[in-house]
Amino acid sequence: MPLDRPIPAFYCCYLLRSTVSRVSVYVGSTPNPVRRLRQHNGLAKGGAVRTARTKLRPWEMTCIVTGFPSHIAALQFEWAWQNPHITLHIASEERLQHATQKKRSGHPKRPRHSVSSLLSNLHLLLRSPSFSRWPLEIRFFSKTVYQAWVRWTKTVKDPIQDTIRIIKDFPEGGGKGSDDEDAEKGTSNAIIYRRMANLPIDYEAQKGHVEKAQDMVDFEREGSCKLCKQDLEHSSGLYIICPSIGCETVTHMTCLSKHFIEKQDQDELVPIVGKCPGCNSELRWVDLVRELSLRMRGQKEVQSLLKVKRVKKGKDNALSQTIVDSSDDAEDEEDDINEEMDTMQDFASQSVAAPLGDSWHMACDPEESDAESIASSSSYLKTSKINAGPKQKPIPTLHKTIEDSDWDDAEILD
Amino acid sequence: MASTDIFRIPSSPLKQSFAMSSSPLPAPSELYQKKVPKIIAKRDSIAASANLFSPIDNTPGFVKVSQLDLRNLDPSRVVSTVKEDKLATKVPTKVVAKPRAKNHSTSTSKISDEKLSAAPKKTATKKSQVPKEPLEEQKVKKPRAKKADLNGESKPRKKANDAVVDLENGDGSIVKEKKPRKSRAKKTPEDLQTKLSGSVTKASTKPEKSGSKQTVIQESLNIEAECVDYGLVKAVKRKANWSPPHKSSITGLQNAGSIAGDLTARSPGSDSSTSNSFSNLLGSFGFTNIETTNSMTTKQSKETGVVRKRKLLELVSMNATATNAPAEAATPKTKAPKKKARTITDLATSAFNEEKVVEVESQPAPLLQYFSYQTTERSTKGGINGPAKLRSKSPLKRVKKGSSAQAPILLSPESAMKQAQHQDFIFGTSSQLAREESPTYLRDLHEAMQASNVMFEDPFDDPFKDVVDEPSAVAPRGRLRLSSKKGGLWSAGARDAAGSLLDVEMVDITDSPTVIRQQTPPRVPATTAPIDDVWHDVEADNSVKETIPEHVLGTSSKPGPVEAAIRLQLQGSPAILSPTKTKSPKRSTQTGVKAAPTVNPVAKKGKASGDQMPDFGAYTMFQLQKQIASYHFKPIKSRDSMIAVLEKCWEGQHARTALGSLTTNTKPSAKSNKDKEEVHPEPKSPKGKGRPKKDTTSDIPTSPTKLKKTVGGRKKADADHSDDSDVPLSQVRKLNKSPKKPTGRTKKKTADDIYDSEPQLTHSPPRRRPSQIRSPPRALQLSPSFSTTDVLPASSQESQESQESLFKHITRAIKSLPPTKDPSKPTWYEKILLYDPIVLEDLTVWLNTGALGNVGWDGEVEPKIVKKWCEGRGICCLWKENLRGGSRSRY
Repeated sequence: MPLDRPIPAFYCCYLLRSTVSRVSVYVGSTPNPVRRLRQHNGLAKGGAVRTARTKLRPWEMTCIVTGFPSHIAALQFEWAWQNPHITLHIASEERLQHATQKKRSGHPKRPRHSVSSLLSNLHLLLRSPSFSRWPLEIRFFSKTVYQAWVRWTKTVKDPIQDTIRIIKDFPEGGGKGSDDEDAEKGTSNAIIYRRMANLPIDYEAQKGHVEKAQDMVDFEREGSCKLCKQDLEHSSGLYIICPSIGCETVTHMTCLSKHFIEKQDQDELVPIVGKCPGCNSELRWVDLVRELSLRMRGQKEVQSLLKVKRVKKGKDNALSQTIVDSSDDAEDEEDDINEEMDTMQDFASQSVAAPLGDSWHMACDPEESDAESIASSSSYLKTSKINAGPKQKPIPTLHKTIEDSDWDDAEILD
Repeated sequence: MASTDIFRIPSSPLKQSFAMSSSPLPAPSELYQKKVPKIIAKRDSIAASANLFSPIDNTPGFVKVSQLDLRNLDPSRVVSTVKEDKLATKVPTKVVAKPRAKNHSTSTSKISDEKLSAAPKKTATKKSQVPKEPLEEQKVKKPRAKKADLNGESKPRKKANDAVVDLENGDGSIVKEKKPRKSRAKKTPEDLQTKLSGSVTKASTKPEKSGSKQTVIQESLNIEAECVDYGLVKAVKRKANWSPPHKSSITGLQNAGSIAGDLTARSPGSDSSTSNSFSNLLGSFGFTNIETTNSMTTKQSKETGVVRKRKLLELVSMNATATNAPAEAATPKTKAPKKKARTITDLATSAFNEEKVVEVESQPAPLLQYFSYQTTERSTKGGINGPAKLRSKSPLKRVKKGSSAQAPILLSPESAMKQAQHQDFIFGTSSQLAREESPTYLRDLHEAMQASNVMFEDPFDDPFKDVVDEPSAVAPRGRLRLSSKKGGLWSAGARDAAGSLLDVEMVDITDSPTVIRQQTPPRVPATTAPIDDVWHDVEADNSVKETIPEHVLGTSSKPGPVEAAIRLQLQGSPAILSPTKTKSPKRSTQTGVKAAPTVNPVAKKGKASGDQMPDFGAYTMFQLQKQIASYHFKPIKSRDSMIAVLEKCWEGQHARTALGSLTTNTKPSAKSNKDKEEVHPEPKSPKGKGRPKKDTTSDIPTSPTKLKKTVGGRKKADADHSDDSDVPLSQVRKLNKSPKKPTGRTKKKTADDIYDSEPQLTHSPPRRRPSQIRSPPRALQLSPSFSTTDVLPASSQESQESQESLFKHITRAIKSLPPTKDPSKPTWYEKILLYDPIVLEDLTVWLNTGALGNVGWDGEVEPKIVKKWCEGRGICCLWKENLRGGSRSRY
């Protein structure tokens, strides 16, 4: 019954478009877009039927929506995106597409999707109350698609929530449309793959936070809630720890949420952003809670996360540089000790706390998405990470925090 | 019948020995055996020992013996060792009986040894014997004691003993085990007993006893002669440990003491003497009783045992021996003649009666009363419970006095009828009847029931009920009341055309004084006097309210007259007034308290709606019936209920037409819009009142089934109205808030006009509040059901507002949760904060089971509503149940 996994590090809904026929589109969801794309394109087993037609291959991911707090949430969104004509998340009067015909089975027939229609529906969904407060993020890999999006947003009077980031993840090419198209084609897969490879599909971004929190919890340094001043007993409550370096703010989750919620949003339950009561830094609620969920339910992931870090450190300083997150000295010391302990461990396992949803299922092909990959298995993670690792490491990702040069020094202290 | 002798020892009141006459001895004896030990068990050996040093006990030997005897009587002892014990007991008793030192010493020593060793022993037989011993063998024991050599003695006794043993052993293996031993051990006790019995009942010695017995008797006689006095003392002491023997036995014992001298005189086989002595000894220890017949003996032994015990105690406490004996003998004697039970049955019943009378008086009394009075009819309502109650008690007293069946006073037929009419007949089981703590309990109960029924009576009941002549009013009132009360109960569940609970329309009669006064529960019985007042007042048409207080004070509530008055005002047709007036008083009487708040609003409603809705109250019965039939209702008998139904139908129709196309959506019409605003400030009060109001409404005895005919949209329309009916109560209670009403009303008026047959609303804005609080949930319930795939159509404004209020409550409920102490069990709030997908079913259950109540929301929420709430807040929610009926196990 209770959720047995932490908030996924990465789960996205993507809009797939055939590079061959720019009209054919496909919507799916995955915790690992690279893998998924390869599946769609036949490079890996487990693709979708709709994308199995060789004529339409290779496919490309034009844009993805990420940041879902749970795989179920992502699936719900995906379904709503695929079925805007019947989804309840969109009010009938707002519907852009309506079911005009009915299938034999009695279900209303789905109108044909196009990029524009999907984009418009996406925009609509993101404006709906169901999803507007989700910590989502749209990332466009395709310039044309992004431009279509922009065009659409201009026509629509209601903007989407500003908390939803729209990221352009494509090389800035020529200004003209046609040029863009060509440019895109040129860039095509390699670049896209590269860019996608840089996606933070693991918990690396939270590593520092995780470590810091782990520290505090291990040493029972929770102290008292910053907001309600109550003493925070170890392991008797859900506490949020500020990820900022040096900030020792720990609060009750409920206290902080109330602190985050603006006065005008008193009817809301879940905050989106807020300021740390201790260090006043702008924080996203989802990040805080993700770390908390890792602490609560993702011990495995945390361990693998930390282990990899250690292993990587021990192995390769260069690698560690790319992976290392910001950390304070306390953590360094902590890590050193851990490193010593872990030197005996398997170096080969570079398993990182990858998104739990990731799993290689060779056997069955989830039709629309590889949601079934939710069944997590660390071994799969490891293997996947191995593939992903090399891609990640050489290329500094946008989301990796600046490494701390002290890190290297710390290693020397071995 | 040595066995009988043995068992005759009434150490305890054995009631099982009733049928001992010709029945095989074993049965009663067995029972007796069983009984005896049980009874004896109660005796504390220590208590017995306490007697050791009582001044009564002159000789330690005696005491010891009694002590030992009593100890042996302790049921806790193993039966198997009865024989030894018996021996021991027998021996000591015998020994003790005899002041002979040698015997005493030896026997006592023996006995002590034996008894001590036999401490754990216990046998039914032993006990039976043992108690017998002290009782009977007081005197006999001495001789027995002499015969320390039990075996020697026992030979002749063996037969008797064997018989006894057989009898005694009849009960169980335990007894059987002791058989061999018993035969010996018992012998002495048995012999003793037999001897005792023989000795004690010398006068009543039965030829049944074997010759050995007689010899024993003779011996015992001798012994008795010596130790009569001591025997009594011992008996007393021994008895102290037992349950008291029957009085007769006590008297018998005492008589035995006194008769000691006569024992020799009495021949063992004289029945007459036995009977004499028997009767004499009834109050005594009852040796004679037992002697005569088993049943008698046993019974009387019990009785005597009881008596004996009491006497023994008295003896002990009073430190009187022979002196008390005669005194005690006297008292039992007084009792003895009282029961001249010549037959077993008489004995049995007499004994039973005596005791029962003392203890349980109520039980037989009512039963007997019923037998004697030959109750015919039963008046559950309307009758006067008092006299019946008293009467039910009186036979008790009579029985107490011991008179034979209550001598029915011969009455003339008329008076008898009258008496019967006044009689309150209460049927019930003995235990039920016996449970009455106070004599007026039943009457009070009835009155309370009536009062409560009256409260819920249909205000639309025939107002003429009380107008009818007194004598006829009694009957019709009874009938009507019955029907109305039944209708009241029935109508409590009545439903209107829409299938919702049919509430008694609560019409606010505008003025608080009226209502206030009406709120005082009127007395149940109605008289014609107030009715007349009502007439006058109604005609005056000025102070309708005045009638109310009178009615309140009187019996009938004003709803009737008030309603009539209102209608009068509305219609200004005095011609119609009379029927309505006449009706109203009747109606008022029936409604009572409930009517007070309910009818007022109803009346008011009638008044308010007079513009549009025809005054059904003015219709004749025929017209009403036609109307009812037009709505396809089954004919309703009560006029009031017809009127109410028609009103509801009218409102439903009008509301529907006003609402027009909004058939699918719930019609919490525009009025609820305005109400929402008012709802927010006081969500609790209307809700709270709405609820109880609902419970008290709907007296109209329309069958729910009929009401369900109109369904669907009508349902919704009427749902509102049923809600509306809730308001009147709240409105009534919120009389001071009248200033609010107009404001709220005016606000709503504009929007409401479209939707409602509103004039009525003008007077009862608060009425809307609970309705709107309720209707939104209902709206939400209904609308979602219509489209599963399609997006819920935007409900009308009011429903949205009410929904918002509900949502706010949910939010509050969830946010008010304190953080959990267990990280693995987050509260709902925390789960939401963690972005956990929320299972709708679980959350709904949690909300319904108290969470919403804590924040002041009375209704329940449905999962669909909760889903809407979640989606509005951006909470990811999911159903536990799959579309195909399965349920998710893993998230």
